[in-house]
Amino acid sequence: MALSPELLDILACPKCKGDLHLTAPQDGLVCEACKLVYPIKDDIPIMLIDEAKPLA
Amino acid sequence: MPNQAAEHKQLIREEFTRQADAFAASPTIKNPDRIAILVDSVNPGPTTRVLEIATGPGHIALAFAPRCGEVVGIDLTAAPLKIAERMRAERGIINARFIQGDVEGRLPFEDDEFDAAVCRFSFHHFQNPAAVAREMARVCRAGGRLVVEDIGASEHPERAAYHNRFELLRDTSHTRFLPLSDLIAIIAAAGLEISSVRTDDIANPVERWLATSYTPDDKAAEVRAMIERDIREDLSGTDARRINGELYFTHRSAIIVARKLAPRA
Repeated sequence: MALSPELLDILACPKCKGDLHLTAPQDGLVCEACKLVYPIKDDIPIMLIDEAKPLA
Repeated sequence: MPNQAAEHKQLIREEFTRQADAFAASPTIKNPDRIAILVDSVNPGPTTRVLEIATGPGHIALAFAPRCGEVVGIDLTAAPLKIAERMRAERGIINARFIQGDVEGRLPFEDDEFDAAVCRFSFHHFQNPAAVAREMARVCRAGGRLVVEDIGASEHPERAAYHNRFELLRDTSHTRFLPLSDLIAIIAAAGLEISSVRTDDIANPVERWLATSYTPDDKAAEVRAMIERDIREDLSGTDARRINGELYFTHRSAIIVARKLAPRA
């Protein structure tokens, strides 16, 4: 199930509280400020700082 | 993050990965009448946006879905969330979404975005329940509702400690059941006005309760011995007893409903 624009709007980076945007393939949420990608696995966004990947 | 907090979160993830299926199937956890009380206490409408903290297998969030605009469930552990997401898809629910996140840290949401925040049977796992209450309050709009359900311990500290000792033996991710007065104080201290408190007693069959948590045999034996002693000596305030030979004790559940107040100018 695609992430709704409403949910994307209220989600915030757990590290810096900043805004997030979807990756192009819609498989992660990007925090530009922290240079982190929070992966989306099996339709579940993983908003854990420890499991975020560095923004390539 | 302090090591103790990190270790505790690791324990929670291990316990709820191991317990995921049994927990999701537990009659107390699934009971639709009990869940309906929580949904009714929010009294959602067609545009209400609800957050469920520590959603686990999502029973509460999925019960809200047909009665609200949108519901988000968040939990630290992947295994129960997969169950929640599978049930969501099976039921064709499109207004529920599950997110993995640290509910004892900063919630990954902006301020004032939810009309209600709900948390059931989870405050006793938290090392800092006051911080969780503050985060629930932060993400709720002024006038929004917070609903917290958890098991209360005795108001008598020694009896609460005895009860918490056998709960911790059974489930290593247990932190402590608070006396109801402490739970109310924590919620009030987050800047919320308590609207109602409702308690009811859940008769807890010890063998089923131990089976749900896959408690190792040696620990289960210690738990049974503590409850047997409780029957003889009245130590925990949980009305430990035998019914037709089966061990039981009582979980006194409390549902606290509170309202977020508008900031004062």
